[in-house]
Amino acid sequence: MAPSSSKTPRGRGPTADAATLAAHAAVLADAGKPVKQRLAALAALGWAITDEPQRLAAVLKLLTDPSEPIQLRLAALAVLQSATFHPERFERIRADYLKALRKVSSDDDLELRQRALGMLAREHDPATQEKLIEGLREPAKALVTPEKALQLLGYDLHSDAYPIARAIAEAPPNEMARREALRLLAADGASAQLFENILMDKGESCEIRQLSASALHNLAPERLQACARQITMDSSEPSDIRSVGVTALTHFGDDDTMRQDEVLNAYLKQLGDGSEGEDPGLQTAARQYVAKRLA
Amino acid sequence: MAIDLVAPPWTEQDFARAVEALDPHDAVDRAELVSFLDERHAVHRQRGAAAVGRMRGWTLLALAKAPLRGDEVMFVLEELQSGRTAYELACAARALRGVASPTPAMAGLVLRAASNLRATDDHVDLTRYGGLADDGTDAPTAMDALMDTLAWLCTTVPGTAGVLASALRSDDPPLSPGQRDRVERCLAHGLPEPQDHPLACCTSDADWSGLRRSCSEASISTDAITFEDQDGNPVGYANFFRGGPTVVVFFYTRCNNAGKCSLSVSKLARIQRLLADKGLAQVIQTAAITYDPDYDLAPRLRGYAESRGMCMDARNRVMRTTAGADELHAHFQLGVNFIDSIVNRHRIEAFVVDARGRISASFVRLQWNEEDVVAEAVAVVDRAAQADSHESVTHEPDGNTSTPTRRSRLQAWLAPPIYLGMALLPKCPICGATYLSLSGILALPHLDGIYWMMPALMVLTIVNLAGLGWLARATRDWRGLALGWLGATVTLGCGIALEQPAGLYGGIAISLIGCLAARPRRGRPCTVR
Repeated sequence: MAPSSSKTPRGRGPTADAATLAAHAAVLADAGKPVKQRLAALAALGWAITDEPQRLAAVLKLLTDPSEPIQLRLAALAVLQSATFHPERFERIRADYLKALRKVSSDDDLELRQRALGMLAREHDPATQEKLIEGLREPAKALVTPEKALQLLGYDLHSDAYPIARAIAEAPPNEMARREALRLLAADGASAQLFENILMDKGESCEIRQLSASALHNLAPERLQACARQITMDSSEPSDIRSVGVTALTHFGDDDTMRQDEVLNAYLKQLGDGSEGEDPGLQTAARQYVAKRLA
Repeated sequence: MAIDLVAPPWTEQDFARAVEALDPHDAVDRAELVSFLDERHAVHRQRGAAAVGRMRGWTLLALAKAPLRGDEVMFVLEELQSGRTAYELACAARALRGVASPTPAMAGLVLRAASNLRATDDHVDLTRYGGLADDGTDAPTAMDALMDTLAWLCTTVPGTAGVLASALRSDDPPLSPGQRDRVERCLAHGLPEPQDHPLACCTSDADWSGLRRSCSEASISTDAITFEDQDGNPVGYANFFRGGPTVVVFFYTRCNNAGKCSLSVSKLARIQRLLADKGLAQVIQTAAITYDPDYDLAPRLRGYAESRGMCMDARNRVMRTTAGADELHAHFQLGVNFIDSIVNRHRIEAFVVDARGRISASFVRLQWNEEDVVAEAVAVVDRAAQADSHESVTHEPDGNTSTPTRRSRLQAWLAPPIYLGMALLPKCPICGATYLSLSGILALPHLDGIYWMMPALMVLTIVNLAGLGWLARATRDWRGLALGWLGATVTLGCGIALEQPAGLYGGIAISLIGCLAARPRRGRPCTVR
């Protein structure tokens, strides 16, 4: 074992010899020791946990053992996660690490469970994606909240999450879940019409309409332009969403179409010149349009 | 037992049971198993990418229970070369041991799989469908499965050691130190390198290039296929592909397998450089077409291709279909399937299309070599050139060949009058009116009392000159008006006032030339703005 390998993940602290590391490992494995002492031993071991199979096995056991203190288990997870930044070391432990994560992904502790699911979701783990989708279909089996599940499913656009996301967007269990479902669908080419409808719906909140504008820009920019023009010219729309419309036209509008749209240009020029009672944010957006498009 | 695809829904477990029930030793069952590996098969439709991977892996395992032969081997090799997930790679590694005639070069693909697995290894349980081991059992990893297969190749296929030693020396594919150790252990227990078994004879992978040659008349109409290119320009299939032989690759920007789409477009960029080096950049076109036209809009296409070194112009485009996607898929028989709008599985595909829009050669499943594709494209150019020269060299009835022949001499004689006739043929109302005017002018001298019609002739001449003036102003070309003016002067002055027939006909001729010269400029339709 090379001395440098015993450094902590941040590379701080003195290098430790084999005997010291063995002592730290012994403290970590001793359930009779105070938690603080074991936490310190774990921190001192750092990436050295991956040097020997027995040491790695002990840390993985610590992570997956529900009888161990949760602070210690979370710390073990953090140290293991830090090892992923060292591909060569991580390659050796990857399979065992994933296996341990799958085990704790249904742990009673919500934080541990949620963190494990997050790591697995980032690895595009199919079993995790299935569990998350199952939880969305049958809330009684859910491991995390629907909004969290949708967020985690968003890490892999090839997971088959779009149908359930669409269903949640239509009949959400709560507003946050709906927002996450819409975020997920922002990469779904078949959802452009959904976002256009939401964007043009005055009954929707500004946040959701802004999200829809962003999604529409991603999926069908030409349709966003038409919607943005309509919103901009509609004085009954809230100023916030009109500002979004003007900004969209300023930065993403088609040059030729914008140049030839005399009605819109005259309207925004007048708006930017300072109509009485208009929102300052909207006026600023209009001035930016004039400066960029009509200068 | 066949899956009832007519009456979905069926679950993955139903599929797994159906596959298990098929007998790989029975020809009919085996054909059905192989059909499940076709990306276009209905079983893959509307399934997530992970589900499709599990289904393919399970099918490979079932197939390998009987010796794998011919094209069946390609599916295994494809997975080893381009696969990224632990389960699929482990299944492919196990299936490789069912190949009827393994070769040493297959060890190279196992190493490639090991390299691909560096960031995705996992415990796998190949005894059960989709078997990721998360139930506490001590299952081996996918890397273990690959190394077992490598060890099997080393101990059963002479020449494998040479392939492995060569790969380790060149570090291609790149392996981690741990993987190198394991490969060296396989080598240590392998068969000694045979003296009479030179490496070259064993590593030929010509049969694995995925190359298929064909040039039959397409049964699928491509007329309805239209594209939008990286700049948003509309492009018709015929308009683009009939501009010359074309190398076509398929891809989509959201592909998360770096060994497929991203690599294909990067290799197409290299093909462009090879063509430029050979002076063929103006002869052979290139095109990259997305599988995902809803999402891959023009700016995305341009950014994706640019970042991979592709040059884009009128002969080299990156395109998405705007109409006729089904016809395009049918024409190229694309190996791709979808869940909603997202691709869930596709194979590697590159084509050489001839100047008539027909597929001349295709490279599918396995990684293609840029030089091979260029060679195929050059062969298409050569064949077209030979066909052209063959058309000009026709056979005499007595069997002798002569150039030019009687037929071509006849064509040479007939061509000028035909072309002249076509050029003079009135093709629009203005041309027609010009010819009618000419007829009328020529007939005027034969009318009785023509000299009493001076006022009418003056009016008509003024109308003619006014028309020419209007045309001249519209086209900014004053030559027609000048000639018309000269013609009128000669006709009225010399022809009528001085009663000189030569002046009359000369003036008419000059007026006619003026009318012809006043036509709109070349390149514009024969209409007046």
